[in-house]
Amino acid sequence: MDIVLQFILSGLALGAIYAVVAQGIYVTFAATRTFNFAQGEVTVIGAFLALSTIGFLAGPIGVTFPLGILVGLLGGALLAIIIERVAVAPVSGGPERHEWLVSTAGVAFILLNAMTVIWTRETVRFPKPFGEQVIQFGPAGLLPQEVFVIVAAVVVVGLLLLVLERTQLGRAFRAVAFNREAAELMGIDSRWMAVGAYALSGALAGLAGSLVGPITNVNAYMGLNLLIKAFIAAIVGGIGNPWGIVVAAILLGIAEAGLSYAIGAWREAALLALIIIFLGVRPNGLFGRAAVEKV
Amino acid sequence: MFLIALIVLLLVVPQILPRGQLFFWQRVLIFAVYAMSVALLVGFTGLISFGQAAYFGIGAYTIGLLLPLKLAAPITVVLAIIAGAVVALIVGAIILRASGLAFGMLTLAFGQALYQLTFVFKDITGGENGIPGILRGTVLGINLGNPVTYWYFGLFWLALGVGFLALVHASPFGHTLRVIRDDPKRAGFLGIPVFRYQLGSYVIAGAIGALAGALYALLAGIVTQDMLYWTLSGDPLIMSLIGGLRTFWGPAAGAVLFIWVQDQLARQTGAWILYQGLTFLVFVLFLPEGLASLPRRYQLWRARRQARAEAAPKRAPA
Repeated sequence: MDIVLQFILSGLALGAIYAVVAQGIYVTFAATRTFNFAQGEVTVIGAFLALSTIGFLAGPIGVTFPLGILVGLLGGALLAIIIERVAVAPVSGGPERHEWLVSTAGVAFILLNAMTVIWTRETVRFPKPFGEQVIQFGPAGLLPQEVFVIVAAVVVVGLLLLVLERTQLGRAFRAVAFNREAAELMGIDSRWMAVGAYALSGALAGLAGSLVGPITNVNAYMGLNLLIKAFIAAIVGGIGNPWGIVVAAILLGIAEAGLSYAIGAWREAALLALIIIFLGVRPNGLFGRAAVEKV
Repeated sequence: MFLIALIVLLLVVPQILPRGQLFFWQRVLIFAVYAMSVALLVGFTGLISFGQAAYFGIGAYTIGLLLPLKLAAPITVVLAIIAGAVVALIVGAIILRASGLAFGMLTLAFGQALYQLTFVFKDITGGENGIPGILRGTVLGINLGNPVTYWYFGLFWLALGVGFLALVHASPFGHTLRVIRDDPKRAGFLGIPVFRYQLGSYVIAGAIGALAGALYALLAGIVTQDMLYWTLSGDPLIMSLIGGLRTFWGPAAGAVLFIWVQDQLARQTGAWILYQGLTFLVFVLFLPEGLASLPRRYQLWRARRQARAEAAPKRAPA
C-alpha cells in the first residue's frame, strides 16, 4: 500500500504539469480549432528562460526563482503570439484545413534548433529552489518542488477555469468556442480571441516549463514527450471539456508513475499501448458521448 | 511523355553519375515513394498521420532482424512489406475508431511506442547502436553489393510501389477515398463503409512505407533508431506539403527538393534544421498548394500579363 500511495503522490506532480500544458492546448483548440504543435518546445523554452534569468541575476534563489517563472511565462506568451500571427492565422482558412499542423510543426523544428544553438544540446541542471529535503506524507514522500508544482497547478488551473466560467471574457471565449460565426455576429472579435488564446497557452506552457525544470532538469529535446502527454490528456479528457482534461492529466500522471515502478523500461511503450487501446474502446474520451451531427 | 522521360532518366542515371552521388539520389528516390505513400493517406484519404515512421521503421527492422537467417534480399523485402501491412491492419483497426486529430495523435503515440520498444529489446535491436553490417548479398548470380546493381534493384521495387499507388488512385477505390476525404459523414450516409476504406488506405500506406524502410536499410547497410523516430514521420508530411499534398507526383517533387536543400544546408551550416524549418514555413505561407501548383500559377500569371498588355494600348491615347 505504501508504494501505491507513493506513486499516486508522484503521479499527481507529473499529472499537474501535464494538466497545465494540456489546458494550453484546450484554450487554443476551443478558440481557433487549431493548436500549437510547438507547444512542447515553448514549454522547454520557458524552462530555459527561467534558468537563464536565475543565472543572470545571480541572487538568492528565493528571489530569482519567482522572477525566472515570470520571465518563462511572459516569454512563452510572447512566443506563442508570434507563432499565432506567423504560422497559424495566415493558413487557418476553414475547418477542414490542416496546414496549421504542418506550419506549427515547422516552427517546432525551428525552435528546437534555436534552443540547441542559443543554449545547449546537453541536459542542464536546474537549481533546486526549495532544497532536496523530502517532505513526508505518512509512509510516502515528495520533493518540495513537487509539492510546489501541485499547488501552483491547482492555483493556475483553478484561476483559468474560474475566469472561463465566471467572467465576461470567459463567456465571450466560450461563445467563440461554441459557434464562431454566431459569436462574431454578436460583436465578439474572434481574431483577438485567437491571439488571446495563443498568448494564454504560451503563458501556461512557459509556466509549466519553469515549474518542471527543477524536477527533471532541462533538455532541449524533452518537448515532444510533454506535447504527446498533454495532448493525450486533452483527448482522453475530451478536448472541449477542461475539467475532464484535468482528471485525465492526473490519471495519466499516476498511471505513468505506477507503470514506471512496476515495469521500468517498458513504461513508455506500455502507457502508449494502454492509451491506444483505451481510445479504441472509448474514442470520445473518458466523459464523451458519441455526437451525431446533422449534415 | 513526362513519364517516359522520367523512366529513361532513372535507367541511365547510374551510367552517368559518379558512384558517390548514386547513394544520395537513391535515398531521394526512396523518400519520394515514401512521401507518396504518406500523401495517399493524408492528401487523398484525409487521415492525418504523424506516425508513418513506424512503418518505415518496421520495414527497416524487418531487414535487420532477419539478417541472421541469411535470406535472399527480395524475400526479406517481401517479408518487410507483409510485416508493414499486417501491423497496419491490426493497429489501424484499433486507432481508426478515433477520428481527426485524435487519430493523428494516436499514430504519433504508436510510432513513439515502437521507438521506445527498440530500447526495451536492446538485445535484438542493438538499442542506440542499431543493427550494423547489413549485407545485400547475391541474387541469381547478380551481386547486389554493387551500388549500380542495387540502384536497379531498388528502382524495380519502387516502380512496383508507384505503379500500385497509381492503380489505387485511378481505381474506384481511390475515387471513393477522395469522397470520404471531402466529407466522411456524408460518405457514411451514402452507404460507403468509411471505416473499411480508411483501413484499406492505411494498410496500403503502411505496406509501402515498410517497403521504403526496407530498401533504405539495405541501401545504408545499417538499421538505426532514427528510422523509427518521429521526425521521419514529419519529413514526408512536409515533403508532400512542399510538393502538393493533393497531387500524385507532387510529394515526390517535394522529396527531391527537401532532401537536396537539406543536404546543401548541412554542408554549409551546423544550424541547418533552423533554415529547413524556415523553408517549410515560407512554403506553407506563400505556396500553400505546393510545387505542383507552379505550372498553373505560371499560366495564370502569363494570362494576366497578356490581358494587361492588351488592355494597355487602348488606354494610352486617352
